[in-house]
Amino acid sequence: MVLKAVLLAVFCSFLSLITHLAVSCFKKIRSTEEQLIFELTRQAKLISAIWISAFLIYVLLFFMTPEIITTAVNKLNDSWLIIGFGYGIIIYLFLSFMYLTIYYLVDRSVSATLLEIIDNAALKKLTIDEVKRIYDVDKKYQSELKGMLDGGFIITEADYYKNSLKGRLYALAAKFIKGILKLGPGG
Amino acid sequence: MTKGILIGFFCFSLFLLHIFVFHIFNIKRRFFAMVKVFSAGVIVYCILYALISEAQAETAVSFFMRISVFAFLSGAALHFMFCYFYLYFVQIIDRTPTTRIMIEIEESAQKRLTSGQLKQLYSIDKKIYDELQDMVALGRLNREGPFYSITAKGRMHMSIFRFVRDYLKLRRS
Repeated sequence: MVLKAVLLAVFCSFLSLITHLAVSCFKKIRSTEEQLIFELTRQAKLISAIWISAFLIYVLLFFMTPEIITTAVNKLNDSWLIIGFGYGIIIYLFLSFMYLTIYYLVDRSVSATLLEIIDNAALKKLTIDEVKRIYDVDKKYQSELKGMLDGGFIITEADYYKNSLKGRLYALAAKFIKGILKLGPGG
Repeated sequence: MTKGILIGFFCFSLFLLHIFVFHIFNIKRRFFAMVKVFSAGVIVYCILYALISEAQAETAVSFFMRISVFAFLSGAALHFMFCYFYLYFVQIIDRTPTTRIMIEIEESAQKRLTSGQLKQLYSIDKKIYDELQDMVALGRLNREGPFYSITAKGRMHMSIFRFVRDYLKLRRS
């Protein structure tokens, strides 16, 4: 029964992904006039709404399982030991990865750092120039570039920074996905 | 599969114990430490998987709920994990400076840029301004003339992050 639920979840998530990609084809390219946070909020709400709608399909299919799913489950049941072992590792990996994303969000959050900078000020308020001076934009730039050098995404040639093969493939993939999802330059 | 899920959850809870290690000790290479803890968890998983039977796992679950309910919730959890990962993936592609920097280098005429040229194409100065404006829009900051000050909502957001950063002894980046 767990195997059936897993197969249905994979199917419904795949359906959600395809739906979002299809909806993105009809989206307008991101406007530079509107504040970005509103568009990001709409994007997150759209993705969540698609996934919640697909969840309703999951519920329906769980209680009214089509023959094709039952057949697939019966075929895979012969290897339930290996599938069960692998799936448990996947769950462990997924949970750890979710924790890591939260860890790095807390660690790297620019907004949380800016709030602390303002809170640490004597009068608890600062102008943007004062914030930038304390935040040290140059140091942030250098640490981003250093991180990319350490990760092997870029290499240096005299004063220049160049993408490594890894960085190039990543940049091309990111550009392609941004094109499909109609995301702006970002960053 | 019930056995695998339960043991997976158990190993993840063991993995989380590293939070207390980070709190007590000054660990420098944290990512590598986490990878080692995760790897140790995989070994624990293999041992427990060999020792515990599927029937024992199902008996343990049936103390709390029916197996059909457990199955339903397992599938639901997986579905929403995929949603979380997709949201995170879009956020990485869209919002991280590293992605933007690599794209700018790739799109440049000679496919290479100096630090100065990068700063002209992608301004972190502007990112800070945008972050502050976003926080005003979200109600976390007030803007009075040229000054930004924190609202009650912003203070709550900041307190949570500050508590976790201090507990894990994270340097501000």
